[in-house]
Amino acid sequence: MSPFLLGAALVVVAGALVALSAWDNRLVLAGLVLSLGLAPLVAAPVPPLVAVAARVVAAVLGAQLLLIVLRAPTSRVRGAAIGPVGPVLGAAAAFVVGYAGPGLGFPADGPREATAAGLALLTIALGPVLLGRDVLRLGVGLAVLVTAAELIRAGLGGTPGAVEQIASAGLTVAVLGVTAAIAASALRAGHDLAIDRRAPRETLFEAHRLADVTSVKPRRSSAGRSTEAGRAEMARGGRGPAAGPRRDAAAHQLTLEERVRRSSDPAQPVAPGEPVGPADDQG
Amino acid sequence: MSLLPFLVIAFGVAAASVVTRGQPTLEISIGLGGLVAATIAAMLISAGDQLKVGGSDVLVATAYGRLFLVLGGVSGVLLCLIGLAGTWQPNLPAALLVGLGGIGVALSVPNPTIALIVLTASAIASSLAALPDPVSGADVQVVVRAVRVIVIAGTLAIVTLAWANPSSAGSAPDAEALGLADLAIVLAVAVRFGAIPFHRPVARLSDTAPGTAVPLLLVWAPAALAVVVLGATDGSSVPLLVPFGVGRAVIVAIASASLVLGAIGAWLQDDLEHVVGYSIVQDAGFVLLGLAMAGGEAHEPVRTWLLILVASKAAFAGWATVVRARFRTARLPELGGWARRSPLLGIGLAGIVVGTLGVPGLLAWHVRGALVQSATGGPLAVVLLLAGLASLTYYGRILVVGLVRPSLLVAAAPGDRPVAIERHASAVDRLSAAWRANRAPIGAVLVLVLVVVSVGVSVGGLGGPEAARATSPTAGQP
Repeated sequence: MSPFLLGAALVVVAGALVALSAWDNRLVLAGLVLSLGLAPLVAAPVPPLVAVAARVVAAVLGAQLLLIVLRAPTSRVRGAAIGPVGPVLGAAAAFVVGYAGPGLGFPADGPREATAAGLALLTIALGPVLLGRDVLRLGVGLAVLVTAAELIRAGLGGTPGAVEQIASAGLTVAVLGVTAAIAASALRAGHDLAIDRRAPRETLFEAHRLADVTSVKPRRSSAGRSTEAGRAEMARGGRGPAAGPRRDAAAHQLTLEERVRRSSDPAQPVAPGEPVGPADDQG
Repeated sequence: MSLLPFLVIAFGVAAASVVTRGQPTLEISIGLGGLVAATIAAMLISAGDQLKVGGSDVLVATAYGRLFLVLGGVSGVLLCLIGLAGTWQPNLPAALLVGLGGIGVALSVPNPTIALIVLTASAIASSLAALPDPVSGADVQVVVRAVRVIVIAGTLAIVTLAWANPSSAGSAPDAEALGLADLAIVLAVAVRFGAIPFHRPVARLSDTAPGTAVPLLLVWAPAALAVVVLGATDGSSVPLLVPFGVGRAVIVAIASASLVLGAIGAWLQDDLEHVVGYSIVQDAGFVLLGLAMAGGEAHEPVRTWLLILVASKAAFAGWATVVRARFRTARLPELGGWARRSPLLGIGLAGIVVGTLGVPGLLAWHVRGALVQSATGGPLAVVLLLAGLASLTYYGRILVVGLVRPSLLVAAAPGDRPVAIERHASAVDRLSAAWRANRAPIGAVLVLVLVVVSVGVSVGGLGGPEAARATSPTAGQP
């Protein structure tokens, strides 16, 4: 047993526990940097300084990106769904299991502390990843999950090479950077960071029988034109627009010109309603 | 060294595109120009070229990787032009470039773990293409969940590869553990492709993401993951992925469910984008059948099929995007008579069917049959072959809807005939006016070009079979 490796592994797990349990955003990010930054040191032999530096810089950069977004006053996040006791006990149990059986049925090339820390991180990350209630909590959970995979890989396959460490650093930045980008987009649009479990139902489009179409009142869409046309056709007994939830006015349905107009005058909402070319009767 | 220009252009231009966000003209010029340049750079990649990136790590260019990137680049340029002619997504060029750059590295690096890490990172970054501006609460949730699926599948694959790595001297790993590893890594591919029962994120993403981003998010990145997983076993002594009892049965079961239920799902949907999503789910079944087999030669059909998938789904997604932009709806009940209104799009759909299914004697047809017969046998093989052909039902339904009397929506939409424009002061103004006035026929023609590429790959053109036969850089690497 190496005291250095064991100590580093315990600090990595403790940092992840803080990151996934704390309510204060600064504490969350501090725990995250601690956990992600020290994770490459839980390996034997210890990787080159450049590789460790790359991982530390990635953790700091990712946290910095999140910090910039989280300064917004509307960026309040929900805390962990359960208190810290459950994750601590789960992490301890997983750490013991990983330490006792490092290869999990396979021969292992790396230190058992890495496998143990990886399994502990995996255990505490699963909750936020599967049940996270806000973008930050989920993003931090994903970053911890990725680190868990890297630790388990170091425990089973030995110390990763410099290129792999740099690729891992890139993965950390990608996870935290995309989390920050999603959070920034949500805040800019006036939402908070909460993940509303009911929200996707609005966009789910379920198949329905064609026969149902004419028996349902047409919905007024922002496009307007389609509804009016459909209503006229239904009055004639023909096919009308089908009922059902659908994002007629979704932002990604805007043409380039509509986007430019909207960006030049944000107060003037532009609904997608223009055809992609002039209508003619010759086609 | 020939790989370097492609990577520099892909990642460099993607960064420049992000920096210029908010200035549409500059962003489009940089993004589209970068995509064209990256495609040309991909064409110039020489198979066998090596690029040293570390002490012992190198990138090895392959013919397969080059073809994959060329197909992705050409399709990406055409999809961006379709976006310009219809509904534009600002993040698309940068996402395409990052995605293709990541695929370029992953298909060239001999170490499969590095390949998996790079693929996961690039797929996460590319998922921002599904984020519209402004976003709704539902959009946020869908994109976050898509990122979650990518990370879970990526970590599963990374851990599994490390777990089943027999590089250490000493005892051989347990056979049961190998069987589990076999199952786990194929499950990672199944999750990324949205194979049934992991199809829910595909349905949501195909609803939220712009149609032009669907090929990148749902086909290209998962296909590259499948190539890396296949490459980790080609010609090596690593017993990973060896069909092993229950594990193989589960893989074949998931593949069968995807083939049968994916076709039913696509047939039940009224929304074209959902039809595209479920058609991807269905065709992923063939990929999983290929993953149930072991050995480099056995993987040749699935590597060929992945190329066909990359091209054909880009064409189908582009077609659905153009239909939505042209008729202002993607719902089949509102699209009556679309083919009569736009014969070019009708021809395009017929070409997509040929490109995906092939006909007896063509490569696509042969590959689908080979995958089913290699992985299964007896009555199940017949059932799966018929299930593969069941996609004719939803393609046929779309076509039948297109041949009936045009609805008011369809009749009011522009036709395929180009519109003459008035004289303008400058050639640029004239070109701009011509583009704006003729976006409908331009979109249809762009779809036809995508279809031609798809059919070309499907008949065995562009060197697809030879590229699929070549050894992967990850072959023999633990």
